[in-house]
Amino acid sequence: MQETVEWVTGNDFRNMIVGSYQTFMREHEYINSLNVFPVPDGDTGTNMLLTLAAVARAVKDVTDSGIGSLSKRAADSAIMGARGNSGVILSQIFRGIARGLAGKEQATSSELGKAFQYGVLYAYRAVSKPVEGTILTVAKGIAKGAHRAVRDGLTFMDVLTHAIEAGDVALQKTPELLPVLKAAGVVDAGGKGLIVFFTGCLEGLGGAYNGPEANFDNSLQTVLGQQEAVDLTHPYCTEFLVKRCSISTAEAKKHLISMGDSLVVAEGSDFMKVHIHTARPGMILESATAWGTLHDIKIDNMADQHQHRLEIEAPSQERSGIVIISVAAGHGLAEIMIQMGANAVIMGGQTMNPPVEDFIDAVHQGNGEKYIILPNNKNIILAVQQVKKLLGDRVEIVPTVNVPQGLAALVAFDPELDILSNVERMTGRLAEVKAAAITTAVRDSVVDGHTVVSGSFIGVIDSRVIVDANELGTALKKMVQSLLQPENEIISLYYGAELAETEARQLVKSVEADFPGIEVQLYLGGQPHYHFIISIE
Amino acid sequence: MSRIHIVVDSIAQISREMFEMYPNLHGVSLKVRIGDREWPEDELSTAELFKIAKETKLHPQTSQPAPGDFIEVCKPLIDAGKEIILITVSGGLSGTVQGARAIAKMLDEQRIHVIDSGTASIGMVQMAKAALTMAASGMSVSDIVEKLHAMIEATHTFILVDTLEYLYKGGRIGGAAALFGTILQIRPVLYLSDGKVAVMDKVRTKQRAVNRMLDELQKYQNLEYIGVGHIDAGADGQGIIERIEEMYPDNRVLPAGIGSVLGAHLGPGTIGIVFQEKI
Repeated sequence: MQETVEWVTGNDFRNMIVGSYQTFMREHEYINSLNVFPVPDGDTGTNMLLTLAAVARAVKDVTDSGIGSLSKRAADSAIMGARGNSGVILSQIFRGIARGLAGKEQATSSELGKAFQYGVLYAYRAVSKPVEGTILTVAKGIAKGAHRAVRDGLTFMDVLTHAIEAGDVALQKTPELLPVLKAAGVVDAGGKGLIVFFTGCLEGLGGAYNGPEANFDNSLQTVLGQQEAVDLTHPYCTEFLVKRCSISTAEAKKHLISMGDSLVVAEGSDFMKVHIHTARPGMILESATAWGTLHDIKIDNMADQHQHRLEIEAPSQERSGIVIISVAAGHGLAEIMIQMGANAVIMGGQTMNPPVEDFIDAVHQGNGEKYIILPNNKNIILAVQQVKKLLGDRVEIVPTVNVPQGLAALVAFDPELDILSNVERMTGRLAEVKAAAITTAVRDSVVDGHTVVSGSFIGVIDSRVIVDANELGTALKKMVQSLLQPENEIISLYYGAELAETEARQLVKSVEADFPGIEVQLYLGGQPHYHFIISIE
Repeated sequence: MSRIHIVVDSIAQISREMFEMYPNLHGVSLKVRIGDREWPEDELSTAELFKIAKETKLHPQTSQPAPGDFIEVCKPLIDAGKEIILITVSGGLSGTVQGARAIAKMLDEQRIHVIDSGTASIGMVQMAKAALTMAASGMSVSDIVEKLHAMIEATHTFILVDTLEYLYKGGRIGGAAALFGTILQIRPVLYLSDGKVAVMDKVRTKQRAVNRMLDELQKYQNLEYIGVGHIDAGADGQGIIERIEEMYPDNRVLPAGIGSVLGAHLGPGTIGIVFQEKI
């Protein structure tokens, strides 16, 4: 038992945040790889990293050194910057901590330990239906470990150490509690993120990151640039087709990989499609001219796209009292949503969850009296619930979990009705939507007893693999076949950024041939990762 | 014979037999035009209309009856000391009611009573029949007019179009305008609200549109009549008639005639229902 009181200051708190952020920089890719499903999914590591980046940015410039006000500021910025469900849960931990430290200039070990327990409690409460085997199981383990250590009067560093140990034990148990984890052979990604967070706090508190080499500004830069999901170091989204191509996609990838990020090289029947975010589009085009002839060259400054997003608004005379804010990844989808009555579309989706702040901004920039938000993704729903919490009755949510549901909700909107009637009407339509998507498996998995290998085409519903095939066309047809009911009339296909229009049209023709009597409509979706988003009505 | 005469425009599609049955019932025809050719509505079927429009690649246009057409029917009646109740297609769809009012003013406003039916087709026919029956029973013009207004209030018109193109080109699209030209194919369920085309709901498939319309119809249980009409909608049109007959076994489902003027504004594949709640 220690008798001397150990004080934790605002500066210590700041060091913890820097530490956790640094640790996440190191670990987020690994956390991303703890993906249960073989589909490109909401990246837990990135979401938590970006949420922490918002916190780190906020506490960096604070002159007030009191731990209470610093933690309050950290909580506010975490809530605004929260991305994805894991980011929202992390932000709730900060809220709990802030509550435990409210009004304090500095805190004792036990006060800080209790504050962290508040954090875990708040995280628990943020989830409407807590499921064991997730981040919450780990949070509970951490809380127990911390509770015991605080009771024993240990120093805060020891409290953290014990908490992490107990959390890690809980983390290792997650595959036993959640069969999907066990099947995938991974532990829960969000739980792992929580361990990384506390480990980072511990390392930061121990002084790991307060030397001159841990230049705070520099370490933040790469991520701060991405705060609106635009990496300013690679601002030009560059796309083109190479025909009569003399090199393989593998060679092209090897050549391009160092020149930017978000690289996609896809092979078509007689062409190769390249997509890359880069600072030097000219250099890329120049080298590609050596491979073949270039076609459909498109270079966009993504910073403009971002501004464009906020400017995409319906003409002012059509503005009703109700403004609809929707979410889409892909400009084709965004355009369709605007046409169908969305007033603003926030860029984001399955692999890029927009922060709470983007929604708050969109609300502040809208001139409506009330707002309806369509998250269009399961992993964005918690974030928009935070938005509603912050803005109150002005905001209502129609809990759409995919793009076809979002479109169905938009179709059902009636500007003549009041907001609650609209929400009821729009929500009522969601059950009628049959939606699926075709993507490429990002890792091996076992589905219904047979192995689906990484790289094969898979048809998914809610991240569950339903069909798989070596050919895109076959996967598409199998997916359609499994969804189709006699009463269905229309298949709507939204093709993704990695597919050329001619290729998409050919696939549509073959679907039409296989399913006569059903209307097949093809639209440019422009979404990443998903070759097709499918909706059957 | 009653001194009250009823005049109805051609949107009602009143049959020759009905005109023969009631000597105090008269018709005035709207006109349909394709390029530089023009027909009185009754002289061009919807099938011919779409065939010629397709051949000439011209969009059909329509016009209300010329003032002379009203005068030809009304003036002899006024001169003979009769009273006229003139029932027109909804003013939200056509200028016919305005033309009729101008003629009434010109001839004798006291004795020509212009009624904007707020509907079309069978809805107008049922009003004309009611007016004829009331006139035959000796009711006064003002009582008949009052009763007709009650019928107008109780009459509802639902429309499903196969495409918004005709409503759009004809300028009758009203509240559905925002839906035209959108990327996604949308099927609106339309109805007449204060006589104008308005959107009841929007769905994506024909079957859902039909279901939505019939769900709305189901909200009205105590009906005087239900009229159903379609323009070349084939099995879909017949299917709806059968479903409505099942829903209302005690009501006879009346055929609603749709002529070439409505055809020009709604397009092939249109299905419409008109019904009146019991007063």
